Amino acid sequence: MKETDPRFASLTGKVGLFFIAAVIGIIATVVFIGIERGLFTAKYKIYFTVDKGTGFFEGMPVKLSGFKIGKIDSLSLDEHAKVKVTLLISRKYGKWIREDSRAILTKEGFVGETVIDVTVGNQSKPVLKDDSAIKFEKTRGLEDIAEEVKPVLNEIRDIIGYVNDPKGDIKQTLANLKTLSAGLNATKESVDKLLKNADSNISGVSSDASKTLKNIDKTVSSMNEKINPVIDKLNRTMDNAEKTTANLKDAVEKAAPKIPPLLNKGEDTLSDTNEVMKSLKQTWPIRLFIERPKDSLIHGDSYE
Amino acid sequence: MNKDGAVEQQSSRVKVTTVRLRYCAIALFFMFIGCGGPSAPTLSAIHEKAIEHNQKAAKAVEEGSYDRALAHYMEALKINRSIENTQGIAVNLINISVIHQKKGNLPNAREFIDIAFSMPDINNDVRSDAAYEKARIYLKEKNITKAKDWVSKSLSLNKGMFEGSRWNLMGRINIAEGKYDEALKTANAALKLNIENKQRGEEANSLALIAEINAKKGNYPESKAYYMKALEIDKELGNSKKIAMSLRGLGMLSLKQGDFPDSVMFYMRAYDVSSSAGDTEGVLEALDSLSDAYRKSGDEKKSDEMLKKKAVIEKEKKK
Repeated sequence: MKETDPRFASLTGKVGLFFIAAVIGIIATVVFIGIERGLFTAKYKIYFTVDKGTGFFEGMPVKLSGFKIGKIDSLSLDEHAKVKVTLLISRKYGKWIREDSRAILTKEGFVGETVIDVTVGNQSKPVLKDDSAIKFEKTRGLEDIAEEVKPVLNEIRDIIGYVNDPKGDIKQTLANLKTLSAGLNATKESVDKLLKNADSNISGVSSDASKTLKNIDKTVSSMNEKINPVIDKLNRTMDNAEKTTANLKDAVEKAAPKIPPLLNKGEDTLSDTNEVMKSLKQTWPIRLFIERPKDSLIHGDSYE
Repeated sequence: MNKDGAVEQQSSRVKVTTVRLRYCAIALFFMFIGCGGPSAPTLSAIHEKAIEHNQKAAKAVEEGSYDRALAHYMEALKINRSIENTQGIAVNLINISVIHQKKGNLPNAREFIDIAFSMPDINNDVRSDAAYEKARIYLKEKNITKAKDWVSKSLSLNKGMFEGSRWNLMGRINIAEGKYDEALKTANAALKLNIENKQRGEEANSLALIAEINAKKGNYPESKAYYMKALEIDKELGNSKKIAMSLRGLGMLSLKQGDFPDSVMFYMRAYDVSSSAGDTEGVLEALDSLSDAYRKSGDEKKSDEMLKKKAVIEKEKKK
């Protein structure tokens, strides 16, 4: 049957073209990924030996100045039952790895990926050749960091104790807040009274306008009398709050320098992750399934 | 038009329709992608921080770390005060009061709840909760009259999802007054409300309350049936404290009926649950009950053993 509709003329050609474009696209993607992963770059191997292979895995990134230059090619046991870790490094970065370079097992940030960090060697030393050994250096473990963090945690516990102290500034501030709330209630009642007075006066305005004015004057002056102590209390509360903040600031400043820089780094990483999660949560349709956060009450148990 | 022509025209029409459908599908796809609608209004970063502290505190409460929860709630309170978030301040004050109650620090609990209740411009929902917490504190202090006043105040301010919990508390107050018939009526009403509002935890509380009232009235088989139902829900919710309470209730029933081995078995189970959950108060109560059960069964040696164990734990707790 012959195709007569002009829209379908040379349809086979168009489909063929589309197919070729798709194939080219796939090949380009594969090549691009290959380049990205460094499949087509020249490489060489160096190694180091460690007592235990814990923490290493094949494919673990090898970085130099934070830049990926290779990966762990293999892990094997040598004749002394030690673990030989062979690194596969891109040839073009080889010039930075000298005899005094060191390989360090480290984490990117506090909770980041584990990588092998290779240090830049002295340029006067010879370049490490293919299949030669690089020095390995052990970094501090989490246990060591935890030991360092312990005193800081103790201080934080002290701060919490200080916050909870019934005779401390925070509790004092709350007591003042309570007084302030009571004062505000009294003010509110006065305002209510004022409104009621105003209502009754307005209804009788035609009979005695001057009396209403007098009433309003009286109420305003009584309101002033009531508001002034509230403002005083507010000022006192503010003074106390400032004192508390200053005390807390001192305590935190005392504790802060002791926090290892690692913790700060970890915080940065966590903050980045939080940002990504936040953006994701804002994306439609994910946001439809996420309940909007609110200040939620914990309901006390009636049988407790 | 000949037959071939007609077939050709029909096939051409089918193809055009298919192409149009494809275009429609693509258009619909883009519409689907684009029709996300405006994003929901976002909270200020500082308000979000306060909520984050609240959420961390709630998690700490679930884990039983009350000190950690308190620290987070205090931080949230500070933030809410810095932005004059009245509702947030009130919610934090109530939550802090609840934590102090859990810690057994009733004067502090009262101090915080008093401020919360006296705050102007908070909605009745929150005010009702504050009144309910005040009632709970008064009941713990054994001030029955005031506890009753405050539950009534809470109910007058707002009914709603948690009405059943208010009636449960009223039932407990009735028991404390020795008005068992009234308590039973109240507990049954609370049970109905909690089922309607799908408040499973409070439903279990109503059942335990009915069981307790029946036990007081000497209706042991009915009491046992209700404790078993409560236990089933407690287990479903994974609430160790409540599981131990129901088990202790069952142990008490067996003890009252003179079934000492059964009683010891229930108390042992309660002890195991509490000690596994790290609930020291529950452990102490279970040991006390066990000692009582052993003594009543004539085993003085074991009874003393339980009391010694209790003394050791109490000493450790004081440290």
